[in-house]
Amino acid sequence: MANGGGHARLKRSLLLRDFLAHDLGLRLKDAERALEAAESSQGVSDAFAGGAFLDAVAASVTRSECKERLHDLDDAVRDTCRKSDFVPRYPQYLAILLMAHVCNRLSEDAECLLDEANDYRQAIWCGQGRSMTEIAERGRIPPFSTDDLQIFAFWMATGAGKTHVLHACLALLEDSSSSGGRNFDRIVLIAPSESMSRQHAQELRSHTGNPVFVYPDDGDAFQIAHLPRETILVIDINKLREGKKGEGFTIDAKVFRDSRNLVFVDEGHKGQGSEDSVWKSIQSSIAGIGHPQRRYRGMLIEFSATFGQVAEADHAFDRYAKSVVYDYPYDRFHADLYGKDFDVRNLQGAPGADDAHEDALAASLVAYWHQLHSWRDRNTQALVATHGLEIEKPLWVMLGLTVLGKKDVAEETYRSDVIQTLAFIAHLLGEDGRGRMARHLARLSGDAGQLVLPDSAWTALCRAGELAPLADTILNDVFHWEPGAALRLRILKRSPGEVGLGLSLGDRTRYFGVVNVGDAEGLREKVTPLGIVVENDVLTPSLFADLERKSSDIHMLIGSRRFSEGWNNYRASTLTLLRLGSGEGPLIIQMFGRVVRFWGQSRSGKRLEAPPEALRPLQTAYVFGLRADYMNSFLNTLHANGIQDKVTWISTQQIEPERVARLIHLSADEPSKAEFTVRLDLGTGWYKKIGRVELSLATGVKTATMRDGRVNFLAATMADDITDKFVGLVDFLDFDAIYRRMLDYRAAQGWWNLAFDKSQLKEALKDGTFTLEGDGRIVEPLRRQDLHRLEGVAVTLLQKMMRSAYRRSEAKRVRYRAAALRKDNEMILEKVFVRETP
Amino acid sequence: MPTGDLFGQSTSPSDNGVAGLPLITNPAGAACVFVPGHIYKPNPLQVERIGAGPGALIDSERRFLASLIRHLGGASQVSKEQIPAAIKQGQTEYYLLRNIDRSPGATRFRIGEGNWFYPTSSSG
Repeated sequence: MANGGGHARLKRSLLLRDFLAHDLGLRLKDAERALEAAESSQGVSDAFAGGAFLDAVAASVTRSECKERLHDLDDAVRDTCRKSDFVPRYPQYLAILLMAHVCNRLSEDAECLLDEANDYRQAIWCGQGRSMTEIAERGRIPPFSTDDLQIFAFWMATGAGKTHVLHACLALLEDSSSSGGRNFDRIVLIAPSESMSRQHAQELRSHTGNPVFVYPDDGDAFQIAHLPRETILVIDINKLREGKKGEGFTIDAKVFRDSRNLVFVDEGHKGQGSEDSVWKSIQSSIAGIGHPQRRYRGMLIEFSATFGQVAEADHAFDRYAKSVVYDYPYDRFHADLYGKDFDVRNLQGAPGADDAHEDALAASLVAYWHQLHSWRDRNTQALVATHGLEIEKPLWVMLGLTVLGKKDVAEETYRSDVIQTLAFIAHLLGEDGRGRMARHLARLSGDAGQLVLPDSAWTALCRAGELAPLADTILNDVFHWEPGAALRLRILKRSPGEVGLGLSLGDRTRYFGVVNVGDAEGLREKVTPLGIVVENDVLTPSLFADLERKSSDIHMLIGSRRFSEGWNNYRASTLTLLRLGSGEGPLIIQMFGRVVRFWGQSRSGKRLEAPPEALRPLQTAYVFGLRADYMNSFLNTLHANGIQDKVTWISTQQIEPERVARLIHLSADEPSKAEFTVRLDLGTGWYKKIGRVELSLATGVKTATMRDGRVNFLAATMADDITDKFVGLVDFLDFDAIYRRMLDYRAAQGWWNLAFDKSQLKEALKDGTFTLEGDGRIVEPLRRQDLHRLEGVAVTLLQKMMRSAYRRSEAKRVRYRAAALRKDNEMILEKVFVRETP
Repeated sequence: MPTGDLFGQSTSPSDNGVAGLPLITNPAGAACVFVPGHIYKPNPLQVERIGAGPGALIDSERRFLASLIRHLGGASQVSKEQIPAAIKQGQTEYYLLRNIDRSPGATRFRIGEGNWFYPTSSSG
């Protein structure tokens, strides 16, 4: 599993973190357990203020000489948190404490720190008591260099408060004694986008006493050169270039050269791709990493929730193994009851299957409506109040890779998922929309629904009774639908990149959703042929901003990556992932982080461990994916982390080579093609002589649910036997086209010794000596392209039948013989492993 | 000692079919079951929470193998010091080798219309 591997591998390879804990004599796991217990029993404020955090850490220290140092570090944490105006949760406390420790060691004697870190790597981390596998894996990480000790990172889940840790680091490093005895010349915070720059600036202004300068909002490049030393410059990565040419807002990173800079990077995982590697270079350049003159060497501190995902690549793996000071990724965040539970349903429809796409959307809609309906219920709100919870109005978020389709593929396929989604909504709100919604409900209240809907949503649907009135209710609750209303897409001229989704009745349009799209006019071109009316709206302000309002009527957000980073909103409750590739892993995890965030009890961020059933939908994130396989890969890694198998490789002892050479075993030789012919064109009924061929076009559903602290996985398929209906449609298929495709297939297989004719192909299908299973809608063709799809099914069936016939003839001519076993046989292993699972 | 046919149908499920076979430990102290007559040792068998590989056997394969060894008389004639040693039946010597390869050189059959069948191939 390529994707989950980086996360798990990095987790067990955090060299710097382990060294710092070792240096403090700290048993990190024990400290974390004790801190968590103190926080749970006393609450965050009391545990921190009353010294329970310090006691918990001190109890986990193995060397008495370290305890005094620990008190000094606790003082440093308190001081920085006071300056940053926040009370740390236990992971933040540990993160700042370890950072304070490394800063102290750097200012005391950086060379000594380097030597000791490498001694630790060599002697303990890679050596004593390690298995060969661990030694090999850990030994791959190169030793620390001087440059490495300029780079630090915090791997923290979205919602775990990394911004506070950033502010605390700032407060810590402003003290010259913690920064190598000399203040930094500049403080730079690099954000992933302009909107995130503004958000950081707002938070910095409310939490620090430093002046904050946001580029380009607060001034031009000239002013940057004259900013006071203590000013925090906030700039987004897209505004920085190496060797700037021409005009524009971008700044040449060289202007920061020859000064000692403290650089913070938010969403530090960005920039690990081949194109983006320029970003890492710019960041290093500004921080003076490896600068030939020591006085210009600054410090680079990165923050991200998804270092694990980018650590697939070796260069990123090495970087973060040696720079992560502390990790609190999603698995631990969730295990500590932070954030929502989740329920993931991933549909594996056949490529190009619109039905699976529609199923995923219909299931998402019903699940979202269930959350919205629960949230509005008075009894549920009473329960929310009783438990001291704060829960925002649910929001349905749809995330697609692109908002517009690519132009170099066929018309039918280049409609992107988002456009297909808009078509789905248009159908629901158009003529016969209520009937269509009722048909979706009928399907979802059956067996198929039990697979694709979260349990509570399916139960609610089954108990709803009449489906037609429920269809009206859902359309009204989610889309503000009422009889006579018509769908409108409106390009918001006051908010570039936003398109409002609304229903128009008379002279009034009421919005229910917003699409974030880079090219609004391009969207107009794509959806107009679908019969969707697109207008301009010059009055309405940003609907994206409207999502923040308590009374917002916007229930749906469609778009791409704009809101995946740093979007500080707690409403997202149902997430629909539309065909995102495995390369989009960090993006999905970012978005997953948005949808599981939760205010919880007294805004602690924590969910109820055993909630009443009525509250479950509101503290569960519903995630629907259409071939979003990355999500399952990611979930597979959760809660398995930290429980590492012990693997030992053992050299085998083999019998003597001369005895191996005497051994005989069975070997098989295939016949050459010249030895036989396969005549499917002679006589009749070749297809009756082969076994029954089976073809499944079922939609697979993979489910991952989190309950009671455990991730449970299930896999099932939605399918009916559609053989007879398919046979009934064979006469309508184009057998000239099918014959041509079968000739291509024969050529591709190199089966020049096989002969067949067109009429036999049709007979084979009409005879029905096969089993076809799949969604019943496959054999209900409504359009010409539905018949094209059925022709594809016919070709697949015939290929399977032809392969069976060919192999049957071939198998009769396979020759078996006794052959000598060679010493170099790959089955005689030189090493085997033994794995022990705790 | 449990008795049963080659497919271990009557073997008690609680002993994983390996009861009575020589049991030794690896240098790390973890238990491994050695199969008498295997071409190399240790053979990648699986006992309780201990996995081994490549080519770890699934439970039914393990039961089959244990029954086969008993059928050939290997369980009673071979002590751990003699491993790897052949299982002898008259003039015939039997050795066991895990079929972990799917190349033309591995043991394989072509049966009916199916693809190549590699008996007990680990990836099959």
